[in-house]
Amino acid sequence: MISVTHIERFAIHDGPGIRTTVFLKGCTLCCPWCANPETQSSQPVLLHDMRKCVSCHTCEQSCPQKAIHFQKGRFHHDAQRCNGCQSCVEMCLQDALQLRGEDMESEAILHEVMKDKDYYDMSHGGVTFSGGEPFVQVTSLCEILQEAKALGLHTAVETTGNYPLADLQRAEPFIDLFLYDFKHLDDAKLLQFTHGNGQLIKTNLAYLLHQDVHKVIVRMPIITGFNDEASLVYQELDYLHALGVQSVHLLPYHSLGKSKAEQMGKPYVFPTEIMANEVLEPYRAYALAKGMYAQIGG
Amino acid sequence: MKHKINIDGAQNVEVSKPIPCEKSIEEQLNIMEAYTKAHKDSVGLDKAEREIRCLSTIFPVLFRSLEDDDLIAGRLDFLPIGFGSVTSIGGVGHYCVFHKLRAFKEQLTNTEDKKRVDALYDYWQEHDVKAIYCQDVLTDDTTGRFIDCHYPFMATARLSGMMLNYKRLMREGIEGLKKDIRQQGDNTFLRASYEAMELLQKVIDKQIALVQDAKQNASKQRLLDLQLMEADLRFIREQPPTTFHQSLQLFWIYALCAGVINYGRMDDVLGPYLQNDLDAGRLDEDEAYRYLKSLWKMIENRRTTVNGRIIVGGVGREHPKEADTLARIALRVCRDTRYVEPQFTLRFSKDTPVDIMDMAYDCIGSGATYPTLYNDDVNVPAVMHAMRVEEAIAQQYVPFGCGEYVIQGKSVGTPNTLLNLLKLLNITLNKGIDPNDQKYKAGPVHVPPCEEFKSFDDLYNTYKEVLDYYFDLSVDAQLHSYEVMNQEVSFLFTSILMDDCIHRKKALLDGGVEILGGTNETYGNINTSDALYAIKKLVYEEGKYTLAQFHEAQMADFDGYEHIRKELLRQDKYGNDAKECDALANDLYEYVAKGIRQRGIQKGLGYYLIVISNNQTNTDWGHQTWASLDGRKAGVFMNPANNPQGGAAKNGPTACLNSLAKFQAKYHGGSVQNIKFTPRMFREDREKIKMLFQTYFDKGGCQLMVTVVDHGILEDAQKHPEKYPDLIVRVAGYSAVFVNLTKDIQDELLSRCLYD
Repeated sequence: MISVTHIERFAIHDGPGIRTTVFLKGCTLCCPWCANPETQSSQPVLLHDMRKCVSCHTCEQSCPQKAIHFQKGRFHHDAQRCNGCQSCVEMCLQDALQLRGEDMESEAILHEVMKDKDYYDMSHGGVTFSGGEPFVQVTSLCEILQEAKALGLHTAVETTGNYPLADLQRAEPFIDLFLYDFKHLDDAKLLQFTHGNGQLIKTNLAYLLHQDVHKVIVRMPIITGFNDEASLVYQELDYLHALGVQSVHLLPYHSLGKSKAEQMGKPYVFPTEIMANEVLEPYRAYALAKGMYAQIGG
Repeated sequence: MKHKINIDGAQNVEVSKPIPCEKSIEEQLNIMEAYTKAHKDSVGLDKAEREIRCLSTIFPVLFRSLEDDDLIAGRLDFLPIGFGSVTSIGGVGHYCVFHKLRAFKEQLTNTEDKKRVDALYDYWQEHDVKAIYCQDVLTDDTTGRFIDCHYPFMATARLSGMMLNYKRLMREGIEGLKKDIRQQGDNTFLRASYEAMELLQKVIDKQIALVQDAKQNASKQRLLDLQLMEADLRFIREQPPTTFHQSLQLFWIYALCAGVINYGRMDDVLGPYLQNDLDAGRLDEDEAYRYLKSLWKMIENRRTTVNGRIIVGGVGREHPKEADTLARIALRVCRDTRYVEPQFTLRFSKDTPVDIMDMAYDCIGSGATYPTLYNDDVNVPAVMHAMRVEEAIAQQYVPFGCGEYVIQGKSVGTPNTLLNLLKLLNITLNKGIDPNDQKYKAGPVHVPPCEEFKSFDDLYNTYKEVLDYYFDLSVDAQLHSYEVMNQEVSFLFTSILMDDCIHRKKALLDGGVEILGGTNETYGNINTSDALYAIKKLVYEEGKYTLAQFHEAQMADFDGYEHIRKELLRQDKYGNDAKECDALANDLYEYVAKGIRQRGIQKGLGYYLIVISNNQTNTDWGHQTWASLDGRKAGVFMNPANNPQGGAAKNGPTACLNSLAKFQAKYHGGSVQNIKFTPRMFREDREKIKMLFQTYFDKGGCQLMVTVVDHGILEDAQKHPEKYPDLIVRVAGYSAVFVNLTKDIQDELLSRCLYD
């Protein structure tokens, strides 16, 4: 079984060609700008859309676990009590609730993925496992990757690299492409903001590059107020180049995670303005001049 | 005696506003009276003779002056009384459009003149071809006129979608046609046909006079154009055309006289003349572009809303190289003009040049909604089966109007019958009674109370019995439309260019046309299969509800039954690549398609096929269709064409296209698939979108109509229409300027998924 938040078909920015992306639950980082905050926890997460809610309390009344209550008019969900029965979701006439997180058999996931096999074949696409951090469920991940390869699928992962090298070594043979996040050169800053282990991430990246440099695309999310200082970005590109990275995606900051964070009752402290592609153009030119392939966006 | 059925009311979808008649009110009234007198005086004469006498009262007088930039002569006005083929301009055969005649009367001040109009109104109530037809087939319960959405079935008399054999016209010229007619011998049809060609020459004389009028006060530059027009008119009056401009002119003037509003594979007709001129240095591409742009304007100015088809590309052309030269220029014209008509259509196959496909995508990406894309690799074999014709004939298929196929120059395929499958399901669930007006509409079929359906098959089989009854009504109504039209008129101009009327010496519907086909527009297909699927799952498989509970909720329009509605909405819907749900949709599709097709064969029609094409009738008919068990509320639009209900497709474009590709094209006579992207996605992810489309086409997708429009633009255009005078959208089988649509149609468009 694998815990999944959702499966997105016709994903066209998660690797080459037309793909299906499977978003897995759980993450070893806790980036506050995360685009998919509902994937961070390994437990199912209940999203509550305040704009749709009319405070009728039907959800509260329908919950057999008493996991929902309203305090001073505000919705509260107790994830520890919740058993994921979805009664509240089914009873809400406003469609204000969504439960994200479901255990699925790998066979069922791949059945869904295989529905678009013809599109992958036409476009050199395939399946991408994303999250969260797909390596949180490394054993299940290895199993499903093996099955996917047996079905002739091109496999990709979107990964933070923040896990033991041994896990990476287990899964690497079944992965055709790593979309490898590189968020910050400074380990202390990374730890402070994301709880990530920069040294581990760098070691794992070096390992992958040593295995097969063509299997790795480094993705650099440029986050306003975190890593968007020009001198830092240039330094990072120098570092990656020196490491042997050949392909870089520069991802402009966006605030797509804001709405979901709010639906989870979490504060979202990063700006709402999205970053224009043009801001990243000098970095792209810099990387190109160094002989790396570079593009803006995924 | 049956009581008189009043057919006064809208008779076609009219979004584009017609250009007002150039004639004075008095002149218009005089012409209508002259037409009516000719009709009256020719009582007892053969229909062909009567037709030519009547035509002589409107041709050439109804032709109007040239516009300042016209490069082709031929602009025609229409009056509420006259002769025609289709309801979009004028009417059918000897016609009176009653509501327009009433509006005409409103403009009069003089009581005497008003009485003159009343006399015309009274006369035509007895003689309008469509009225005669309606008296025979309309009923109080089952069968309504087109467009009266209170009925589950609508029937009409019209001759839509005729696409003529213009190659014959080009080859023979007018004198050649006259000679050919004469050589066939002598009967009233041939005599009248000969006179029709003489009348065509009079029409050309009139154009010459109009060009001469335009020469007065023309600039030096304009004079050059007018001189060419005059010379070419004189030439084609006597000779077959030899140049591109002459061929355009002859085609156009003939199409106007025939009253046809779909044109067909003009690349293969005009391409050789164009190429010849280019090769000889008589013409350069810029000049060709200018002529073609003028044709585009002439077609747009006819304002036929759901028609104006020009088709380029595809297999089975005689002159593919020359035709592609024209196609390339036409693609540029289409992109630059951004008109809603012509409905510019690209037929393509694996052999279509890559640059033409790329130009087509660029044109679509510019927001033109054109060209609509038709996949020959699927459609040609499908048409062979559907119409039971050889490959060489199937290769000449052309979509007209909202997407129905005919064989150019060889078949009649007018959609004179329309079925609302969803209304019929509601009637089946409600003891044969339509919940909208409480009338019993199930004919002889025994429909028990819904609680007596012990299994899903019980329900489904009874529904099929109701469908069968309506299929029988349909085929009879379709056939009867031909009988009535044939009894009244010969459609002379159309007959002359349809194989093989002249050589058979018979008018089109008198045994003249080689393939007498027909089509039946079906509506609410997907709401129906989604409703059946929800019933099957929740009542008969899971046992969560009884059908009686569902029925009770449905009759209340789900008021107080919101949880049931939510449960219904949560079920799998067509358009999400859900196997079981799509399988049921396909089962229903095949039952309906085969049921209609088989009845056509049994009754001796060349073909009779369903079309899932859609204009805006899904919305209009939805207003008169009660809540349905797919979770749709009463009065809400039904699903467009063969697409999911707005908001139901939630799994992205691959899933939606996979659902669409499951219906085999060989059972229908045209099925429309709409898809919408943002300009950003269409621009930045073009290569992936092309591969998305290619995969869909390889999987059996027969066609696509693509709208490229931005998030929020349509919503903003609803609020500030003045800012969006040229925002074009694909409604289903036609394109329209968004702000010209009524709010309910706009809402239906907004409900559809926009991929970004």
